[in-house]
Amino acid sequence: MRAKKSPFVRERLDAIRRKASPIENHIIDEYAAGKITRRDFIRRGTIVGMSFSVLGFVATACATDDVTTTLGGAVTTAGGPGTTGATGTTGATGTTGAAGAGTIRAAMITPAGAIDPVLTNDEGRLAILGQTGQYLTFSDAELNLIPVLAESWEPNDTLDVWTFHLRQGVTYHDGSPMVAADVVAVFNNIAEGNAASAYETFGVDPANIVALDDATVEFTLARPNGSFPFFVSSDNYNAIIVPASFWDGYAEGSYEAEFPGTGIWQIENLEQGVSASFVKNQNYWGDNSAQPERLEVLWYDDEAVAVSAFQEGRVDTIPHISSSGGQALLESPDATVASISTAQHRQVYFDTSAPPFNDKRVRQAVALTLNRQVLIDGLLAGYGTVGNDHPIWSLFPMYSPDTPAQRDEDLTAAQGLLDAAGVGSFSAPLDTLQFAEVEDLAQLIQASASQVGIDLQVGVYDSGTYYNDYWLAAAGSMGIVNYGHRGVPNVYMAAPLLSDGTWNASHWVNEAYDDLYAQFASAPDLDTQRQLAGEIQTLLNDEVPFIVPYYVDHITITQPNFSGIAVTGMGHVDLINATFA
Amino acid sequence: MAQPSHSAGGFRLTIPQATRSQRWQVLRRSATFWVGATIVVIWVVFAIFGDFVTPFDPLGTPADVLNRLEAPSGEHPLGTDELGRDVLSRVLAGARQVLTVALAATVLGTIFGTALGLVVGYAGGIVDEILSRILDAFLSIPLVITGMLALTALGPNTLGVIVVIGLVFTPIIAKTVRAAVLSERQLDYVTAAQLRRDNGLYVLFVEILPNVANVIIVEFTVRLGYAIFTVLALSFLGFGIEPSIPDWGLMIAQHRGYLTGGIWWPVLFPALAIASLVVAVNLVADSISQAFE
Repeated sequence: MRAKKSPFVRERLDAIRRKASPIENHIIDEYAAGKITRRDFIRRGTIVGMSFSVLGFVATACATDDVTTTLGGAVTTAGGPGTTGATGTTGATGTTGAAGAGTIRAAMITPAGAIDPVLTNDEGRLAILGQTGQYLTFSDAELNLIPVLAESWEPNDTLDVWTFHLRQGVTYHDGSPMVAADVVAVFNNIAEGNAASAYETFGVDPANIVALDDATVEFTLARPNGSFPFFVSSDNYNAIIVPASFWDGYAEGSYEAEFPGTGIWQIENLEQGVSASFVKNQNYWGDNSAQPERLEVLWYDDEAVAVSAFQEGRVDTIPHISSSGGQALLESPDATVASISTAQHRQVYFDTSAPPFNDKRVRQAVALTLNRQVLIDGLLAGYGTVGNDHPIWSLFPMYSPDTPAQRDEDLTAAQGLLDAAGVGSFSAPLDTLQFAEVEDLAQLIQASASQVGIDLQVGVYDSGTYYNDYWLAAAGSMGIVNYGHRGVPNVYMAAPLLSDGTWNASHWVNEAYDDLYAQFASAPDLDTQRQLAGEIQTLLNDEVPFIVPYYVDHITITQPNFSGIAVTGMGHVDLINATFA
Repeated sequence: MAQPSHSAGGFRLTIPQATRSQRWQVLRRSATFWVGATIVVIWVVFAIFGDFVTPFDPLGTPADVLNRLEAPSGEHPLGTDELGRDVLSRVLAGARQVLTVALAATVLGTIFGTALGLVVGYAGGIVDEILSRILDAFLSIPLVITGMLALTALGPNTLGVIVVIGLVFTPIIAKTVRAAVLSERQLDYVTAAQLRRDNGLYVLFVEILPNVANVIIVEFTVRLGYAIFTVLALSFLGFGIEPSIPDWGLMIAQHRGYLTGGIWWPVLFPALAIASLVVAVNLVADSISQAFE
């Protein structure tokens, strides 16, 4: 039953609709018709640039009875990269005292190289970039898009031109103002680095990014894209905003000279590979009055080192740890454990271009040997959700529920498929990298496949060797690669799956998929995206270019007296609201 | 020391029977030899018949990951590892991996090292000078570092580990054999063979080799102990061994992170296995060395 709207509400709603673009009105229509939940309405609304005040009003005015979620706690902006109600809770020693005092001591994974906006491709580096720098938008753990350095944005009606309005009064650590030319310079200079796949995914050509004035930047895309604001978000972690002058003398690692940015921390000291310390940005554009004064980061290569430091009270938090590495703390009464569901997943890919995996029945057979819930319970201590051999995570708004049916372990069916394919027993390499539980996953896949006569030879390599020599190369092989969390599935659906995708380790070529993805990426409304996602999920589940056995939760450990840390599945760490009890 | 004697085809090694008996007597009376040999034999038996005596499949098929990291119990006397595999079964089966690889690598190193040592020692002069300096340079690099570099270049696999350790041992053994050959080549039987204008290779491998055999045997047993340790060090560092294969060094590497959580059994028992085998091989090597002195 719908509540009767007051004349005032109706009048304001009509005014909002008159001003709204066709796409915004479409999203309001979907919500008013009960096609999307309140949470999805907020998410979609933020993506197309609707303000929180408008979203909050419409969400209440058009509420339907099936709505159970609330706006409060879902999104807050307050000047920082946004924190959400569901992100890491908390808990440590450190300096106690009132909010705004003290030193936070965090154990973080060692950066894989020089901290550099262009080359960063790992959690260790992006977590540090996010301390001193910021993005136009922030993709939070609830899949909301939070305005940060961009105050608002809107697309044209065809979704191929997006205009961003920059926040005014923002300055860098050196006091210079942030202007549109800085933004254009960033997106011109990171295009050839690690972010290249994002440019490909979203159809961005640096030549088509222009500053309309000091406060407005316009992106013209090669093709329509309804999720484009994620391209300029923290999901594209290379896109940290730095002064245009930074690029004049840019060289690999030159960012470490000053760590220029607009973030809540300024660099104090850096000891490469060991530790870094930061002090509070006293001239921050937002309200960071409650922020502690200092941040000390202890870097670790081995999670056991972080666990020891935590047990000895030398750190207040480990913002991200694996379930296996953090096992000693997961059940400890002296640690507060918080976890968030994420879209991070492992892709167990097959080389579909050569025997035996060029026959989809063989790929389906391998997928049928896995007991996914047992993998989650055993390898992830339960911190994960089951995957169904496509990368559209069940919490993405565009996910099509129950399409297709969940693939479960069925050895009889697997053997039948292998018999039908006529491959008999065979051997094949299964190559992967040293990362979290992936080596164990490889061994369990090996053990599972051996039950139907498949002899997989597991090779585990350091990430450099794996990505250089094995990832896209070996014919007739299987492999496992990690994909970090994203706020939308576009990257997962483009680079690893399109026929000409740069990360297509499966060497899978499927024109029907290419066409479906093009439609999906340019679909303006959630209904259409969900319908297309259903077709894509079914196609990928049937073709199995790769297995997605599970999605991995993000685990944060804190000392009991430390709270307020917010993390994302991508690995960003927001400490603006951190406090000691 | 073995004495050369003349035979129809030239000088042949004819170790006097009494000398062999004396050596065997020394070994037989050596308690350390018997302790070491017994332990080695036990591990060899497990290496050969491990599949028949392990209580569970060492490879953990089917996977029992839900029973991971269980403490020692009646069902699993040494507990289970991070994938729910029986630690006892993997420790017993692990003997095959280390003994096979270490033995093969030592044999390879001994063959190459002996050949090189014979040539360098016999040729003398500039050949000896050049090759000896190359060998010295090679030996100046720490063994495990050399192994890691080579395996990184060759690609990690079991055959690679054998080849790399064999090649790393080659100069070490070559230096020892060269020193023995330098002594031998001064002896009359070598001079006589040279006067007869015997083929150089014939002199090396038929005349001199038998007379330095004792040195080679001692060196072989000593190197075997080092090879075991090197194989396990490389596997601990993640070089060369497929992760599912039961391997003591790898087992320790895979589980050392759990020590902070009080999970000690997947680390302690492979470590004890390593200690027992290395100590046993060294006891045998010491005993043989003493018998040949």
